Amino acid sequence: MVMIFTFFLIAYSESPSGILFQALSDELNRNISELWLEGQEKPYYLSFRVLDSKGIEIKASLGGLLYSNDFQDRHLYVDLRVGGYQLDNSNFVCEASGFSVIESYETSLPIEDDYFALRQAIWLVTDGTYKRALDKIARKRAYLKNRETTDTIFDFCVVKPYEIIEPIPKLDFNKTKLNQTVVGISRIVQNLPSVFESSVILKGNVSVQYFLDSEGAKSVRADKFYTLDIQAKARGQDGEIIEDFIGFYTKNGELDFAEIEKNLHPWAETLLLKTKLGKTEGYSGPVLFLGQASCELFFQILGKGVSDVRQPIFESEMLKRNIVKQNLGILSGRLGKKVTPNFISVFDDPNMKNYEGIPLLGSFSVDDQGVRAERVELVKEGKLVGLLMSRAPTDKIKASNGHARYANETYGPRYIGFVGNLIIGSTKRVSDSELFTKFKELIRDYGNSYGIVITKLEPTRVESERARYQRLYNLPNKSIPLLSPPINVYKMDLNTGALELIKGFEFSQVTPRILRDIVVTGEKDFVYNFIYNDPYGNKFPVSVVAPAVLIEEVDLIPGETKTTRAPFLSRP
Amino acid sequence: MKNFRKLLLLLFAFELIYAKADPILKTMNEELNRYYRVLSKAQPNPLYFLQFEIMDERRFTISASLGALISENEEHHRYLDVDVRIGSFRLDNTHEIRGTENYDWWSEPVEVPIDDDQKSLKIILWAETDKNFKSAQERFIRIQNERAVKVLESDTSPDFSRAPSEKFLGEIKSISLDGDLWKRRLKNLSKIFKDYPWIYNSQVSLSANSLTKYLVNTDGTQLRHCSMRYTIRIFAETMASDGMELYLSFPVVVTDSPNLPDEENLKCQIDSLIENLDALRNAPVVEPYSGPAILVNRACGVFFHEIFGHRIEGHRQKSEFEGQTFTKKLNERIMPEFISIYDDPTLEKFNGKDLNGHYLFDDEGVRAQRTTVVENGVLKGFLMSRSPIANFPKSNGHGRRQYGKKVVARQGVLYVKSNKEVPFLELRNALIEECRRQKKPYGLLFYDIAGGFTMTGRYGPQTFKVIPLLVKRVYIDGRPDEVVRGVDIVGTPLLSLSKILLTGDDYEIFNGTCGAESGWVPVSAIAPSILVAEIEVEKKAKGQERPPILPAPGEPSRIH
Repeated sequence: MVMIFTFFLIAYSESPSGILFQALSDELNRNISELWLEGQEKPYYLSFRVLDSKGIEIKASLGGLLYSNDFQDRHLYVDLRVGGYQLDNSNFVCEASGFSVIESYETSLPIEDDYFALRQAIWLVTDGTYKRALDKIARKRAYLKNRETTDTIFDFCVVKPYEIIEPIPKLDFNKTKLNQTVVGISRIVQNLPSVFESSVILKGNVSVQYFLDSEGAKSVRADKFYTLDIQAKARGQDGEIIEDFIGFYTKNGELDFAEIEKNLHPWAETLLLKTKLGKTEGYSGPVLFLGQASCELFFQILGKGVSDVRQPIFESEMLKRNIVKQNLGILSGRLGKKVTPNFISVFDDPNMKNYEGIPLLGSFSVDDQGVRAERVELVKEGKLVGLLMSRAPTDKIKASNGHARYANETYGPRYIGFVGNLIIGSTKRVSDSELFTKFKELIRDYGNSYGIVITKLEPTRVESERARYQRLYNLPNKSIPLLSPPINVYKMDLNTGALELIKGFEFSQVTPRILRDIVVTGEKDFVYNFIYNDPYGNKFPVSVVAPAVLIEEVDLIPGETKTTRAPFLSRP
Repeated sequence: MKNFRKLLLLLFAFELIYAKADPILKTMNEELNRYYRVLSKAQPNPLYFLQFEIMDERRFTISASLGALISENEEHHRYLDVDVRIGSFRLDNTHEIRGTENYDWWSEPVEVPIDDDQKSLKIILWAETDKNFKSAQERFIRIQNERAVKVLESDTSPDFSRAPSEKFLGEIKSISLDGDLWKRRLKNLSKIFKDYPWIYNSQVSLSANSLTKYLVNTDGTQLRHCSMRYTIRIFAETMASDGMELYLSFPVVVTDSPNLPDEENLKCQIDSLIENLDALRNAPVVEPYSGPAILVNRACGVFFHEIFGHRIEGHRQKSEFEGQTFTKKLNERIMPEFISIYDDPTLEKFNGKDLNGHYLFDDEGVRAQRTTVVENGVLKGFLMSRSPIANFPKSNGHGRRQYGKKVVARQGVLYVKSNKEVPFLELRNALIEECRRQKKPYGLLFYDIAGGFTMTGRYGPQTFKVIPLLVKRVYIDGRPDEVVRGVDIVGTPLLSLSKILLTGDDYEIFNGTCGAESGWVPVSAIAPSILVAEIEVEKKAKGQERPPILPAPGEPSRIH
């Protein structure tokens, strides 16, 4: 009778999100109080996270429009925990014990705000997730019982419930005009004579995260994204295939196509220049990282190093074989220790929406676990003092700081702490001319006749699911290098100071120590907005703000080159 | 001489008409000729055949569940396949390399512009031809080396056959559908499931596809042909109390939207699907059984497609990896003499109903042909692409593929014809008689089959498994038929085919999509119901999950 009464009292909200929240809330309450299998434990925590995404994707290649499609998608992710904060079904990797018609963890939801259809989908996936959770905690307890373990770190930390409802931005665009723009950009690439493959992908979408949990958190996070990714493959004179990428991203703003075109021409010219270059010899000595290269250096070593710091327990060693080593959390053991020179300080603050007027892509007010985003001091005067935390504590940091991101991995999803807006500070900044003077000094001390300036490291690429699987399948040792290869490299002559573009390098034996070899930093900060595409297909919008850095000694070796013979036919 | 000039003029005029009529074909043809002129002189291994195929696909899908729209998508893509052959018809770069996989499962289709931008299309055609020509060179060298170190293959047929030049400029059709009307309709229909809380998942979906193929090759073939497909699918899923997952699905495929069933008709289908699913979830589980059975028409069509159709695809008779069940059985009896089978993709309709497997030309530019494979129980032929096999030097228009894949021989419209037909009721009586003769208390009646799979590879057992959805027991003592669940049909093809006793006269169509090495292609099978003296069923793998713990959410009336 009580149930019936409850159903009669449902009031439909006028706003579309109201109906979704109502359905989520009613199923959350019903499940947390009633979901129970006899002889088993009840869930102690339940959260629903819905990602509602609507937008457009346009792709052009070599001056032609490949597709221009609208999309709309609504997905529910369930986090259900049994046990308690100290020990629950999370942080444990085991193979799924069979497949079921009832999916668990996630499901797609109706795109329409229909209360009953929404509840039906939420009910089913929650039921499946509960059964998986029971199975998993039983296996985890059995595993721990069999081993001497002193692990007393909690699986889940308590947080203060956070409520925030952000307004939903509108996505306004003229599709025909956008199509023309994308084709226009593609035509610029097409006009490069040595390019034989290229793509321009523009995505515009409004992404809304609805979050609700059994502890009282309730939030709506809404963002409008525009991403423009350009990729081109050209054939060098020596047959080497040269690939380059450039991306433009905005959050809650519009893409400035005039500005993009302005940036595109030098990018295209550099690509063209690279096709005319010959092979390079190895190099050891001082290296100057400028702009994007400096930001990628900090992101790849420091940012990723302080992310995903709670490693799960693996039920068997075999399972580890399929995990891609992507250098996450490698600095977690250095908490309290020196990771950079004293003059470097680093923090991550997702709450920063802009940096010196430039919008930051990595900003958010609430993370994927519904936790309020916090500024985290990561490096203070050279010492590592903080880590990026989800609600999975470590032995040293027991609380979340609102940096959780939902990451789908080989054995299911996890919430990992990850970079939002990584801001690098320095108290040893020098002007550009002083930076080059210092650079020259180091080159001379080293006994070299030239130094290396790197302006761009290879970013993670935008690729199709199939291409990603294929690359993952062929990844040597299932691991990603600590630092991706430099793609824009210049040789600076010690005497004349002239810069000459060279190509074909990769880093040799880089360790996190490279950051401790920073000698001095530049004066100005570079703001780098990008999407980190992880090996599992997860995409994390990130911002890094960093000055140029001069590093005392870096080893570079000639990279493995992919070549192709000259075309049999002339290009049309 | 005059006549020759006239002919030339006529041909030239024809080319012009083509060029004017379709700019895509014109570009494809110009580029094809340009590349062929150069690459056919390349040394040491010149190009001897080149083909471009572009598939333009438009897709519109909507689906609804419990009265709400759950997805809506509209997409338009164009994909290119470039087929390059170097060497000679006898030995070329497509020759099987023993010990390696002949199909690239990772291959990704190449997209070309949808906006008719001829300049970028030309660059993509150029880059793809160059890339494929280079990899063909590399592969051809490997093939030559392999032949030097390994024994001769058992089938030494050439790698490629000649085909006549074809020209066809079909009408471009577009999707014609009242999207809003169908959204309303699907939502209304999907609402019916609201009254059945024991159905966990349900969906009513509609997809409209138009596929226009453009093909040019160095045989002089120039084709543009279009096919349309509208599919409605009703799907419902539940779980029995023992954790067995059960689903039923009802598909309708038509080639013209006015032929789609009306709302009333679909409502009846949903009601019947719900009734059957309800019977199924309460049905007893069948123990492994071997005995007489009837495969009801549509189920029989799927059965023949799986256990027989895949084994008469030409390339399987040639590959050293294949089990080659029927290769050496040409002109031998392989099934009762009252059965004849042919595959006829030229058939557009059967008994007024659209056939999904119909096409005019295959993906090697060969006109589709009716092919007799079994005549009065005797094996007479195979489904052929342009890859010849012993005794079958020519294609019969069955070389098919999904974009991005290599062509192999596939089924189109498989037609199982019998001349020992009786009305269904008589067939049912014959089943009971056969049970009595074999001293079995009951026989099985297979109404609906989801699909199945068959192992044709040489290194595995030559078996098949077919997954029935709706099965009934027919008792010899006159008890009413009883729905049962939990079985899969298993067997070996040669034995199963030899045990057909009698057929019905109730021919029906199965329209579906078949997946194999060359991707997904639309297919049909037409068959009557058949009585088989012995069919073996084994226990179906079953989920171990319990049904949902909490009752389904919903209106008060739904709380039981």
